Amino acid sequence: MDAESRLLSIADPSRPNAGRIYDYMLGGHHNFEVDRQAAETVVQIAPFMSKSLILIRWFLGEAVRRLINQGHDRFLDFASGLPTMEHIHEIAPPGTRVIYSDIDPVTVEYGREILGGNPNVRYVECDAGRPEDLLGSGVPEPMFGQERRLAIGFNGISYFLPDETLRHALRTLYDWAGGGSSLFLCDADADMSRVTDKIKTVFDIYSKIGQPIYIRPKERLFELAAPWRIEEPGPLPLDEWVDLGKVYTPEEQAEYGGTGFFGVIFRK
Amino acid sequence: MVSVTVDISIARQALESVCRGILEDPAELTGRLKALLREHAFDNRSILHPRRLNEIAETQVVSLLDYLVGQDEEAAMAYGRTALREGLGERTVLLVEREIKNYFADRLEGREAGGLRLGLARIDDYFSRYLDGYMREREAGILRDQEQLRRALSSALERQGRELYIKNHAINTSINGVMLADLDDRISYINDAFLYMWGYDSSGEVLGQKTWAFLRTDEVRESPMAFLERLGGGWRGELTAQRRDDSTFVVDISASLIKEPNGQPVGIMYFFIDITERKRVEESVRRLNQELEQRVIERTAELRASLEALQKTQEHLIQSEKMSALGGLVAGVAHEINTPVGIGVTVASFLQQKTKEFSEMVIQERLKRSDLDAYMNTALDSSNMILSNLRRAVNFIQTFKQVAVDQSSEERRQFKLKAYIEDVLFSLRPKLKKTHHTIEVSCPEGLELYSYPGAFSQIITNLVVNSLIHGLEFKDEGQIRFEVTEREDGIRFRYSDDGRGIDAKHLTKVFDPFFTTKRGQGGSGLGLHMVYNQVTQTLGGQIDCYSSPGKGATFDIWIPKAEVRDVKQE
Repeated sequence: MDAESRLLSIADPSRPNAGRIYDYMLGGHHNFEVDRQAAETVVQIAPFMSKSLILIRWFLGEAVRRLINQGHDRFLDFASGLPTMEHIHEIAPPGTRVIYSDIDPVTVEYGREILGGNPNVRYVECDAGRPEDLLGSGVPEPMFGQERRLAIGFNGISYFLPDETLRHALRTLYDWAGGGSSLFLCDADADMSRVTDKIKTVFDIYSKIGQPIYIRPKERLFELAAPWRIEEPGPLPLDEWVDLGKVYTPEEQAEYGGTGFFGVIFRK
Repeated sequence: MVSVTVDISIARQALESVCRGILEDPAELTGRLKALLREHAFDNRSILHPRRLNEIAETQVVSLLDYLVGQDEEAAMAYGRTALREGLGERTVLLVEREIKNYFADRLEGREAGGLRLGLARIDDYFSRYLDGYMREREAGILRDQEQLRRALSSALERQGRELYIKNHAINTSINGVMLADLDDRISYINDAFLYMWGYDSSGEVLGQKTWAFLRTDEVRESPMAFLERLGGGWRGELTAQRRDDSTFVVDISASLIKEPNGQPVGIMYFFIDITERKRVEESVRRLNQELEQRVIERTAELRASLEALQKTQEHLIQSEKMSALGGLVAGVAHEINTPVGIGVTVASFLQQKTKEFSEMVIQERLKRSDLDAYMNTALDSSNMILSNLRRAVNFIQTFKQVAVDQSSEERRQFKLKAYIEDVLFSLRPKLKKTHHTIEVSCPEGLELYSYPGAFSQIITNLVVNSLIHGLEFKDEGQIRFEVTEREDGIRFRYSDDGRGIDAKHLTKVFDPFFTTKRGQGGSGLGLHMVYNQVTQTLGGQIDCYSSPGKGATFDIWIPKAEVRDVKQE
């Protein structure tokens, strides 16, 4: 599906959309009946999926707190979703500059309403697979000035991007970012040849709505992210990041043919 | 009535006692709530981060106790609103309520029955107001979210609508034809350009018809849908289109399947470019190219013929130059032989006269002894003189003959190089003796070659002549030097003069045929060209020229050993 058709489907309330399914699973109201039905189908097949999606949001909060403690005060976030509580600008101290972005024009409009007139926060439309559109849009310069030491969020999106698109996106960000920049990212450590039929059914649902899922072992992700280098504490399962103890059963974890969702912070 | 009052009072006291106990040591209740909230963390909305759960447990206890003690209804409702906004799920709220009730029941159990009843009733009341606030906030939140969503969707749709309008405008005003068809290949949309290209007045005449009715059907073998599916969804090519008046024209057509996000085809899009004009231009260009190719072939043949003629002329001129040099040589020979032969004739005539006088004296018997002696001396001197001059002539002839034969033939033979250089220089005496130039030959005495003496002869002759008419033209006492050195891989033959030299701008041209600075003054421009040809072609060697104005000219010749074997080997 080309980019334009994908965009059209996003703003089309008659077709389910991955972003709105995600919103529903997180307990949001930014979704339509088609999205809720698709989400319920996914939850019925794989109940633990909603836990994974919630953990992704919580990881984002943990990573942001860690990066703020390291002195980061400029954040650039992709596939942001709604900038509600516990999102970057809510956690960060006043004066922190944040640019959110999302491919979904409705989310972008909604996000702008939520942010109101906050001068330190911008929300722009951008496909995470083509960050150059945002970087070259003229938006970053007035927000970040000449400073290129950034914290870049890339969460809950990697598995929607094919390998080469992901490599391109992360490399583009690496080239643009200054030394000392950080990239916080979460993905699913998974092996398509070993995923269970249950998960394959979930993937089929996403394929049918035109948003196929591209899973990969975490070692492959690290290859694609090069030359970003992994920072302490390294790749950890998402439940370890939020200190909730083990939230997945061993059976649930085995569904992906890997160790499941993990979060990692990279450094340039 | 009184007893009831007393009961309520006692019950209130019991409840307040429990509340005071919790206030003094809230850890137990908050601990139970913290554990409960963490256990059900995933029942809440994602915006409620786990780190907030502990704080929520603590504020929940405070909120409840405030209500139980002060009965602040608005505060209970407000706390319910906050819980919703924070993301606390309904299931979690109900579990919290049950946990609190169980806790208070444990504390009030066994005390006055009114305390337990009153406490549970008050807790019910608290959670009733709490849930009232929670649900009101939820309703408001849903309405707000939906309204925001509606507005956001509206904005997005409006923007898309604008983009769609622009795209529609672009399609409608495109100069190329655009057509949409359904899966049955029936036309559902065409733009104005299509109508114009096909000669129709309105879309009503076209819509609903099969697409291939507007193209030459004999070029179609299968349905467009099947055809495009087989080709992966798209095709581009040229087809003949048929107008309303049955006339035809050629179109560049792009056809592609329109697919749903799930890959299901829903229609076909066609894009037409009228390439009649392009075809006409292409045909013109093709014809022009053909004509040009023919003209190039003809012109090439003409040029080849001219070149061949030119080469023949050049060869002829070079041959003429050789003959001219030979003619000069013969003239020199004639001049050189004329002297000794003339002396011989004069002396022979003198001897003839003396002999005649001697004979008369003998006949007349007046011969004296002294006359006999005088005649004998004269006869001896004269015959010596005749003989020496004739020998001189013979030497000239032999030398000239060899050089002349060598110059006019391409025979290979064995010869001593130094002697041969001197022979050639000797043959040039008629030209050299009018000057006061000195010629020095440095060459190993025993260097004997099996090579082409004619080539050497021509090289030497032309180099010397070139020096005489160019470098040394205005010099009375010039110097010419031949320096031959033998090397392992060949011989180095260096010729130099100390004349006026050659301009830098001429240096790269001196070996070109017909290049001369003496055009119209006798220079043919072939002398050094012949030297170059003899060195590089006949002898397989190399020649370089070094010079600068006022400092003479040097010709450095290298001839490989294979071409100048020092003895005949075959």
